[in-house]
Amino acid sequence: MNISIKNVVTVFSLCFLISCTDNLNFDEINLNVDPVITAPLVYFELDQNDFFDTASASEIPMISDTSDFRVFKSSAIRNDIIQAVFDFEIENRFDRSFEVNIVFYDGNDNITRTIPSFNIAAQDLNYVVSDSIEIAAFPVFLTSRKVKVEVKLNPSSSQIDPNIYQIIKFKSTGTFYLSI
Amino acid sequence: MKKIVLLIFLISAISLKSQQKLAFSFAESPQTLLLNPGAETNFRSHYGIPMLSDFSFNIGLTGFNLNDLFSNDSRAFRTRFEQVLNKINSTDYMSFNTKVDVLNVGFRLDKKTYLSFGFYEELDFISYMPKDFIELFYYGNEPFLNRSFSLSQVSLKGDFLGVLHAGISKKISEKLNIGARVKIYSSSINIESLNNYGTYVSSTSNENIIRQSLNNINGQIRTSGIVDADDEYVDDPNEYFSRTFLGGNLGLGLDVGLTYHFTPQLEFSGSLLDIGFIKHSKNTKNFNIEGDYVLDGLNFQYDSSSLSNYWQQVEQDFKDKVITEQTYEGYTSWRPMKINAAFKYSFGERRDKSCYSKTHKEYYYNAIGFQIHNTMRPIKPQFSFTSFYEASLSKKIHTKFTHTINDYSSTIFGAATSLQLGKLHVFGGLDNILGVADVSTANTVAFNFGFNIVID
Repeated sequence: MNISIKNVVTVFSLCFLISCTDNLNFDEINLNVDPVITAPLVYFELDQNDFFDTASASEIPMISDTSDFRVFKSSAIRNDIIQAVFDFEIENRFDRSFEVNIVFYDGNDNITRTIPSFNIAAQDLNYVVSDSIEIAAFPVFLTSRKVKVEVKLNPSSSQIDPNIYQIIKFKSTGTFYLSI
Repeated sequence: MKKIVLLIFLISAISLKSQQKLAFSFAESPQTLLLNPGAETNFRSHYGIPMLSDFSFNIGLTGFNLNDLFSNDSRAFRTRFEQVLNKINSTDYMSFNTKVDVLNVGFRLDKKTYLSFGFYEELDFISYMPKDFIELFYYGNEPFLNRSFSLSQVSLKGDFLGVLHAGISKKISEKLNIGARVKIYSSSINIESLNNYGTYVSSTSNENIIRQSLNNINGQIRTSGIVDADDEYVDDPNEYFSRTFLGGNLGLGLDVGLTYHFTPQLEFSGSLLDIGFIKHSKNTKNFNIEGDYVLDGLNFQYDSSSLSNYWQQVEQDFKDKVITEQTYEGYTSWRPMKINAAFKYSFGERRDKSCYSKTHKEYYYNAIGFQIHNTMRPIKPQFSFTSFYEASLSKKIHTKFTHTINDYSSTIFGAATSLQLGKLHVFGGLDNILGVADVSTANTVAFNFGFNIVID
């Protein structure tokens, strides 16, 4: 048998030349990654003492608190976010109704978004509401750097009794739709 | 960004597997000595053709194939990607291995002893599919409330190294031949992320609507060789190559093996390869994360006497409880040990072969048998079972046909040939012949060839 290196190389080359990848298509690789990220946001529990000033023995009609809101400090999030949805669950065991206002501000305390007020009736234990923000329609929302949650005790003929335990629980999440 | 995501997905599924099934226990070729230092040799000396004496390449993929992802059909790429993502599991992996014999020579010391030594370079990488985190990145956490995402699925190991070796094969009796090979490893690059644990969960909670938890997180990536002494990333390929010849982090290894003839026709051969380690002390850079954390959100206190920046508090609390750090400590990495064993029954027409000592040895023209190959890997060993048939077409032309069952497939057919062309010994093998016909549907393709001058 007459065998040469040339023949051996030819046989091996042939094995790879006959290899077939014709059925593959690398031209339409267009992968949109659209993760939906949900994260807990503000939560609190207030009782009757939070709305009663013992020094003056009178109700406190409104309290508010503020925090930094740094979700949009990341340029990656700012560039890729399509929509933000905020979900709220409120459990009101007071025999008084409340109004809750949520406002977002930019770094210079300019308002970037005011979520429509929530009016929670007395003893409403399952108040659920959402607020959706399409970023394309409200791009200024991306400049938000602070969030304020204001809780107002609606006027009533019955006064808060600091000796009667009552609570209002507030929960919230933010769900962010991204397209990377 | 989309391409990067895809690339990460593909790369994250790669691993290496240095199985040269075809060459093991076959035709007493010089390559066999690297797979079994106790292999029998019946030549006076051999001289490998530099860079060509032994070259092997093996790429493998479990869980899906290229056709699943890139098939030329009407489905959107996104649909195909999601179907693949749904199909894979966390023990699937991608592997890549290539080995180039730079220098390989051997000579007979006496009738019973054969010495061989040389130097080869090896690139080896394996990564399991961190399915949890690919899905988390791709879909986000919102669809997976109360699902636990495990960091233990992140497991990868990559090496680029040079191996200087010297071995001895010694005939103890007519039945038994034993051997050993000492190796000095010079690691140019090592990257490994092993033994990670801990989980991430988004769950329902009494405090807030959802809670995010990092539970007992402990993860690490250890590297050596990718940064220089000044902590700058090395971008000169020549530096990577130069370090493979005793210029990198050094290690020590041992191969042992034997060949035993129960009868003239029934033979057992076995070897343990790369029982060894590399001590990484130079150019190391490691990344660690450890801790537990529960995030319920920003807990507003409405305390006008003590205004708080809740976001800042959360960030600080996270930093305190989940420690992330870069370190430059040395570490030891273990080589992926391989276990090879083969039973071979020879039959058919006998033939004689003149050996180095002007003696003759009897051979049979045919043989059947089976082999097992096991490579120790981070999550589980890579196991292969191969049945084979060998046929000698003449005294100088030997062939071997194999069928292998392993993680990749149960229908891997291979073929190898060993030719003696004057003093030139040529070995060539191709595994998964069916896969080569259409690599798009193959889960693995491997080939191995070598050119050596053999003096009988």
